[in-house]
Amino acid sequence: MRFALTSAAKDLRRLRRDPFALLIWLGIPILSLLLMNAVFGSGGATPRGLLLVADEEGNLASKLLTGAFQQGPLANMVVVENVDRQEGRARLERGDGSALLIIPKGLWQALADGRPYQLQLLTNPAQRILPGIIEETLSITLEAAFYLQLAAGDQLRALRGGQPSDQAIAELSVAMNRLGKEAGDFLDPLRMELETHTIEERAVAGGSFAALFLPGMLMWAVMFLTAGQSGDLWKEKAQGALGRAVTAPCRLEAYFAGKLLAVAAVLFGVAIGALLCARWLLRMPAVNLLPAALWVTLTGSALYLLMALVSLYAASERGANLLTNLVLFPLVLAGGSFFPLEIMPASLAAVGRLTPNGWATGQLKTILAGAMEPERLAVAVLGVTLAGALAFALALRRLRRFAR
Amino acid sequence: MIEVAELRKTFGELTAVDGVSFTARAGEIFGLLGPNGAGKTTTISCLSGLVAPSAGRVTVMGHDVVRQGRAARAALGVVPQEIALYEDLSAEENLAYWGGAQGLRGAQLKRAAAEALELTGLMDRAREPVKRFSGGMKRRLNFACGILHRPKVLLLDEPTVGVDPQSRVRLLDLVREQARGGACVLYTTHYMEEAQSLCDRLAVMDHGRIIAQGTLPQLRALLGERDLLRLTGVFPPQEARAALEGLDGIEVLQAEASLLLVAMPDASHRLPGVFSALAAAGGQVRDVTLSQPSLESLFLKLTGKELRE
Repeated sequence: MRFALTSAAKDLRRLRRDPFALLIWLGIPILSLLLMNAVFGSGGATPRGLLLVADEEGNLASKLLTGAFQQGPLANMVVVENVDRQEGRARLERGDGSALLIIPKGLWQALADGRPYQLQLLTNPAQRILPGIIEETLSITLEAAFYLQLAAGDQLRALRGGQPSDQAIAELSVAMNRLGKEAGDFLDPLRMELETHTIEERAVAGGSFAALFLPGMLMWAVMFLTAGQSGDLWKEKAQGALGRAVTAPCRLEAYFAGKLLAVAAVLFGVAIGALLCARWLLRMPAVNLLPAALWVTLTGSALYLLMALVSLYAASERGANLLTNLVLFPLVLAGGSFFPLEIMPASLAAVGRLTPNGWATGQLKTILAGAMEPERLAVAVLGVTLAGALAFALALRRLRRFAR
Repeated sequence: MIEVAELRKTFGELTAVDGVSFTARAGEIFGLLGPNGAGKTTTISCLSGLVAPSAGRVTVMGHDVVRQGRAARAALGVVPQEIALYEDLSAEENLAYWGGAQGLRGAQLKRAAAEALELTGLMDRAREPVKRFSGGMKRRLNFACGILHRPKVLLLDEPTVGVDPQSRVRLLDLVREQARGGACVLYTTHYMEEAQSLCDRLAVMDHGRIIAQGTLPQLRALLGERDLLRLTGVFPPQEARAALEGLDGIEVLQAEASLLLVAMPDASHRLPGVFSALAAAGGQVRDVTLSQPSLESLFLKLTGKELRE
């Protein structure tokens, strides 16, 4: 154990003499966070979408339909702009707009006659969230129209033909009033109630894009660090230090454990540094910084052992670099370390959660949100420790042959 | 002390060490001399535990290096051929680390490191990063890291490769000091002069085998009291060999179109006879070198090739 500490101190001294590498490792998450924050702001920017409407009907019915997007909180998220069909298509193809709604002639007629009618909604494939909101809102509005047609079909039929007369409007008003009274037992008070719970603020790691990106970015830095440090075994072999260690009476286990301890110490420093920066500079309302840093240290150490194992099976130092990069980059991209899983397509995100870094990032977010149950955390820690111990044993076994 | 009996090491099809046996005693410098690829480093690697022998038995201070590896390694000091140091660390930090690897701690480690620095003349550069050292200084520090725990057995694998003459003399003095202090030193080299001046006993290796061993006088005796004559020029090899072998007491060690190597007693007085015989065989001599029996000539006699080839 004493030589493990000596070995760790040696590696930490060597790392200290190479501050450029340390700066890069620490700089990746912090710089990326600052950039994200500069681009998206720290207060949680509200997305705004543009709905292009080609209203070929141009009457009360079509205005009621598009009016749904200008009510309540949706009005702050979606801007409605009237265009003609060709212009709308051209703008959407250029990516200028979240969606194009085409309302062909015959809406009112179809509502009155109870005939099928087709609206067209074209969405921008480059956007995911806002077109989804528009589609959902439109579908709710059409459902409301369907029930209106069932309840007041006769009155609507009386209005067909475009601009209704004052008499027709008055008749419709009376009918609607009657309908309201008949439905009153159900509507006032409503027989169905919607119970709404607002999730406490602590359950969300932060309202900003930076907070969304932080855990993944941190894991990204961890993966770079561990891949870089796994290559140190090759450096030590090339300079003969590993061979000399094998000929000394110290145990190879202690030598390797020392390397692991040094990596763990750097990981902890990077994690706590990045989390404190996020808290102070970005006002990220994260809790549990120490458990989060310890989690990053534990999972990062296990990742280091995995990278070391991969590196030790390579035929040369160059091959080891190539091999670790072949493992690193797909994991970074798929595991939500570059793009958060939250903004990935569901199927890809599901795969990402199965990657070691994707899973670790998910747990980190839960820890930062203060929502991790102690039992679940204990199981996760035990799992990572066991996986790490297995990787340590396998890497050590390989290291004995590798040193020779 | 070191005892090696019928050591054999193979790497797949390649036999790097083939039935090597020798014994080295305390206070003695035992040399392994041979060209590159002769099997010297593999032999040292088997002794140090870096490589497991395929067959045979190796003991260090009575401990089997395979079955009692840790005990054997505790008695060993190894100075590898490559400069096995951390270039980012200072000389002091390197010594502290390698001393720790040898089991030294605290005040004992500090004292040993200071002594090693003093001995190798690096005390005034102790806190400088090794990357700023010259090649010779790195070699000396490499040596210091191998001896700071005062090993009973010291393995030195070509420790003077690439070292300037001044540093070489200093390093060789350091090796002699270790032997005088009672350590058993095993020294590999392909420098004949180094082996002749340093080693008490020698084993000459080629193709993984020991082809001769003993003290320097014993090895010289294998050649007899014969001089070595090296002739360059233009020769018909077969005819030249036949012509020279017709003379009394001459042994042709090597016969090529431009080079003849000949062992013969009293060569300086018999040169006219050699020239006449070669001229009669159609040869033309351009240059002649005459030397006393040496390890070089012994190696030539035993293997039919020069040590530096």
